[in-house]
Amino acid sequence: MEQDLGALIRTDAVHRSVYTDPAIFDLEMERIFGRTWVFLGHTSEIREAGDYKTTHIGRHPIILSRLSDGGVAALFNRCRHRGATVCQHELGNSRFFRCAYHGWTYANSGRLIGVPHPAGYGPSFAREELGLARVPRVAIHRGFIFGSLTAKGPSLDEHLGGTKTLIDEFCEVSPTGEIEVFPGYQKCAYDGNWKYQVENGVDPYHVQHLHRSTFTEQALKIYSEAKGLVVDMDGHGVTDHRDTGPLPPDGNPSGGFNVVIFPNLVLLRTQIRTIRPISVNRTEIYTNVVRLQNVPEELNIRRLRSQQFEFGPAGVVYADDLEIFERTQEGLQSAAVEWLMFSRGLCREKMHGKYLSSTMSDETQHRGMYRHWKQLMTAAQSSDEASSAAGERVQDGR
Amino acid sequence: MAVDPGVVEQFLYREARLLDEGRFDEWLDLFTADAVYWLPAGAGDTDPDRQVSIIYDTRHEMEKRVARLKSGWAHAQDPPSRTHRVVSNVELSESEPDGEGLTASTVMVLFALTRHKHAIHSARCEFRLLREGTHWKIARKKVSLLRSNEALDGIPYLV
Repeated sequence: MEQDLGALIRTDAVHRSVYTDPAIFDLEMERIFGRTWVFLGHTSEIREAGDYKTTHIGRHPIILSRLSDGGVAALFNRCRHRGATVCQHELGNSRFFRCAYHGWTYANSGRLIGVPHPAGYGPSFAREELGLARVPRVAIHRGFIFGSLTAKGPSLDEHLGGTKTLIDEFCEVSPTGEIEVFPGYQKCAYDGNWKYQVENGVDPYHVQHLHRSTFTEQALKIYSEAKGLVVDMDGHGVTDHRDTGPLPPDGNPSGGFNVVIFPNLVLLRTQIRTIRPISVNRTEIYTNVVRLQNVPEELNIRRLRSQQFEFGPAGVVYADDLEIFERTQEGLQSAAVEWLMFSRGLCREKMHGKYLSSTMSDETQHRGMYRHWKQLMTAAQSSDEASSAAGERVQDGR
Repeated sequence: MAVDPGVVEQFLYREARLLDEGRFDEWLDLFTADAVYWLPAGAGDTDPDRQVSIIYDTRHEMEKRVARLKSGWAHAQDPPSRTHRVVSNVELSESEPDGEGLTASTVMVLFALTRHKHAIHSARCEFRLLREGTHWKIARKKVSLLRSNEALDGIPYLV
């Protein structure tokens, strides 16, 4: 397996086992979700001291917690005593988390503050070392909270590369420069590999055909005639249709850009989409709808309505995406053909400023993300292990 | 005007049957011109203007949803899902002083077979019904899925 991993990604093709082999999925959890920066949530979900949100980094259950000093900590949702999760709610506010099993109690910073009958552990009991384990690194850009299970490695800035300015632009649709999310999520699931959503978030090539039932001729024109670009932006995927206009505040699909920040964040139109891999053939997608500040409420409601019509499990657009993800997983069960084609645009892509780019229907952005995948999957074992409990926390500069 | 519960029940069964049989235009005809079709997301009570829903359609979106299903290009409905809906626990409450409107609350269990995948949804449904001439029309259909806060596999059929 070790030597083979790199060979699964060719410049023009990806091997089917990348989507179907459970052993590769296990390695992805370790080498991608266990090492790089993973999107965890938006600061508007945990505004006040004591607010929390539960989420995941790969298979790890995580509590994202707003501390009394304004900082954000990401804690492993696992009691240090016998391992039960200590927080059961998706969102909430609490000064502490108490394990229901034996009553171990932790401050929302993770510090262990209560153990029933502690004398039983003897005089050497190191309570201060038995807080909830902390995610070693948490960093925030424009309200987007990311965590990394390694204490050392590229900074979030280095990881985001050029997509940092796209996040900025995504926020600047809001007149205050700050976005928030509507409470609640659209949550979807499909029987297929997580990387189908990674690809599909920046795939203008499919829109005309897969979504023909929904998009009008007018909207399809944007895809068929835009002189936009697909971009390999530091290993993240971008489709840039800003030649037809900036991101429209009402969320309609003309103009703007889509960006997939590898491995689990998709920004497009009004959405913050988070990818949660469950297994090699099961994936969950959580979508926040972005609310703008200082705009007429009708505009925000329009954003909400177009999202609800097109996306989510019953969305007229997204239902077909979910369907095709499952059909792909089904088709790839066959080893008769081993490779998936990723060659569109190889004959015409070129540097556009700093980045390799090609025309709208090409696959330069996908090749960039699979190069990123290969890099992470074949990197030597990191010396920092995920279990590092000595974490930092980060001041949110809001 | 006194309401015959049996008539309302038959109306609700018919609404379910029209969906089971893919008679979408007849289904649309059951709704008022300003109808709302709502599937809240999340647990508990929600405000559709302030919180994310799974679906919040006005009549306009409902018509577009139906047009898509009939377009021949709704890939997730090729082949169409087959569904059975069990409508039960019907409770009626007068909602208008003049007796021209009422609210019907039901429990609905939906069995859906999409290609080889079998899904079961349980929901509390709330229909706001208005009398139009001699018929009832649906002014609002709210479907609160038991799993409204879970990650749901695709629901490419009407609920």
